[in-house]
Parts: sequence; structure tokens; C-alpha cells
Amino acid sequence: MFAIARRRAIDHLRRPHHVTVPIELVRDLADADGREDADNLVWAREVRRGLDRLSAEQREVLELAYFGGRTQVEIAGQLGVPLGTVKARMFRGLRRMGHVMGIKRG
Amino acid sequence: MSEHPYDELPGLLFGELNRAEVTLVSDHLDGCDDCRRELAVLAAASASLRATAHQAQAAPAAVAGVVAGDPVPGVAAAQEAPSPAGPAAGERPAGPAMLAWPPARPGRRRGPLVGLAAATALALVAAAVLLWTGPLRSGRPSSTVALAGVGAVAASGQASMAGDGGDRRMTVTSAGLPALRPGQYYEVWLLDPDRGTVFPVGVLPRDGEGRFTLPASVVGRYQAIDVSLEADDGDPAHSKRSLLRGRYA
Repeated sequence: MFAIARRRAIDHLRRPHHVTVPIELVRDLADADGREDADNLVWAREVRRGLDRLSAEQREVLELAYFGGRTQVEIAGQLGVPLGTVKARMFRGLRRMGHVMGIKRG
Repeated sequence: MSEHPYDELPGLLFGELNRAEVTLVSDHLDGCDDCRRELAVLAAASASLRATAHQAQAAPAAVAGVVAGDPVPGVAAAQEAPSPAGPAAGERPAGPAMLAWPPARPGRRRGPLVGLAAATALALVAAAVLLWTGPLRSGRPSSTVALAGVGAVAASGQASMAGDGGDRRMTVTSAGLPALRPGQYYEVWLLDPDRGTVFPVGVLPRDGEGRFTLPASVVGRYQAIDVSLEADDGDPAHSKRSLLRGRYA
């Protein structure tokens, strides 16, 4: 399982990035290791684009989990929906994000 | 549990399943190539989200702005200026903190792919143990809130909320914010003054204007907007140095 995951991650990151970043911004980031910051910026945009492609419900649960630090149980309580609904939205949202970001299944 | 425990896979990654559920899912994974492939996709997507959420707090404001869906901020040289004497807001720093995930950064110099691969590996290896905002949507303007300087801070601003359905688009504008020192940034929060809790909205670009999209359900749980002065010190909590605040509910 680890090998599969690692291979997927490597495949994903070896893909050519098609996201463009203004050169002025990259220059602004170019500190001791500016290339890392530029990579992170591109990565952040990919994640942003992935989130944008989700349904509002899927995006909401992922944002609450990853950017709000909520557990699935807490999210269900906050949204007033069954835990199973949160789990399903989270699975579908993560899977769609993976596909949008070019992470392919086997 | 359905034939394939797809919906349990995120919980497995997050460490939110109980022992019996972990056993069931793990036993299934042992014999199901399909679920293992799904888990690999989920782990990579999850690692990207975790790393990016961390970057939004710990990395340059530009990255955080991208995560928050802001337009790419203009380039501006760091300004040297006296630190503002922002008074403590008296609010709690214990709101929903960003996930304290190691800063997985895919830097080429440290070896390619180390960031995501490491995060993915951690998520999978520790699966049994371990383990925001959308497209700006047009919507009718619904309210505008004045933001006033906190304490001795001579700044002002406003925040407008718009949107329907599940999202709320918030636009924050401000003037007169204290100049930023290197390593400092402005951050926007939702605040519940009564409970003393906050929700991190995102980094406000140094020009004092930013756009954010929030789940309506989150907006509904708080009553005020707060703009704080933060330091890039790895601490995701509110600094208690509030600069602007306004109540919308």
C-alpha cells in the first residue's frame, strides 16, 4: 500500500505543472530557497483549483476538516447532518480533488 | 458498511475510526486492490490539503492568499516600520487551529517529491492511528459592516457579505493599518465575542484589501469580523493583537 501511495505521489509531482505564476511574485518569494516557495505557490493553486471543482457540500466539509481542524463528528454536529453524510461527502470530495489534481488510480 | 468501505477511508486517514472499524477496513484493504487504489488517491489529495493548509499559516502571505482564493497580491517590498502597539483583544487563541502538519514542501533541493510523498507515507503508514474557499460566486449584496480600529489603532475599514446558497463572499477593505514589519502579516478572523472563539478566514494582503469565500454555516456561527496583526512564527492561534473589528450579527 505504501508503495502504491508513494508511486502515485511521485507520478503526480512529476507531472508538468501548467499553472503559471507571475514572475514578479516568484521574484518576491525568491529568498534563500525561493524555488521551494514558488513550488508551494503552484501547489497551493492546484489545491485551490481542486477545491473550486467540488460541490459546495463537498468543499464545505473539506474546508472545515483541513482549514478548520474539525473532526468528521464535529462537522456533522455543526452542519446538522448525519455522520454518514459527512463521510460520504468527504470521500467523494477527496477523490474528486485527487482526480482534478491528476492523481490517477492504478 | 457497504461492500467497499469507501466512506470510511477518510476516517482511516484521519485516525477517526474506532478499533473495530479500523480492523474491518484493514481486513478489507488486505484483499481489495480497488480500495487500496482509492486510498492512495485519497492519501495524496489529503496530503496536498494538509500541506497547503499549513503553508497558509506558515509560509509567505502570497501562498496563503492563493489558498484563500484571493487574487495574487502585488509585489511590495517589505516595509520597515515601528511595530504597532496593538492592544490585546482579550479574546481566546483557542479557536479552530490550523492542522499542525509538518511543512511538507516539494522543494527540488531537498530531493524531489519529498513533501507530498512523505506526507502520503505518513498518512498511510499511520492510517490506523493518525490521522477552503470556493469560486467567488456572484450574489446579491446582503450587508456591509464597518470595521473600527481596536484600542489606539487609528485604522478603519469595512467588510461586505454577499452570496446565496452555501457560500458567503466576504470583501474586506481597510485604510490606515499599521505598516508591516518583515515577517508580519494581517489576518482576518470570524469572532464569537461571547464564547471567545475565532475562525481563521485568511491572510489579508498588505494593501489591506482581500476577498474570501466562507461556508454560510461557518459565518452563521460567529458574530464579528476581526483583523489582527500576526507574526510568521508558526503559531496558528490569534496573536491577540487585534487591529480592526466590526460586528455583523
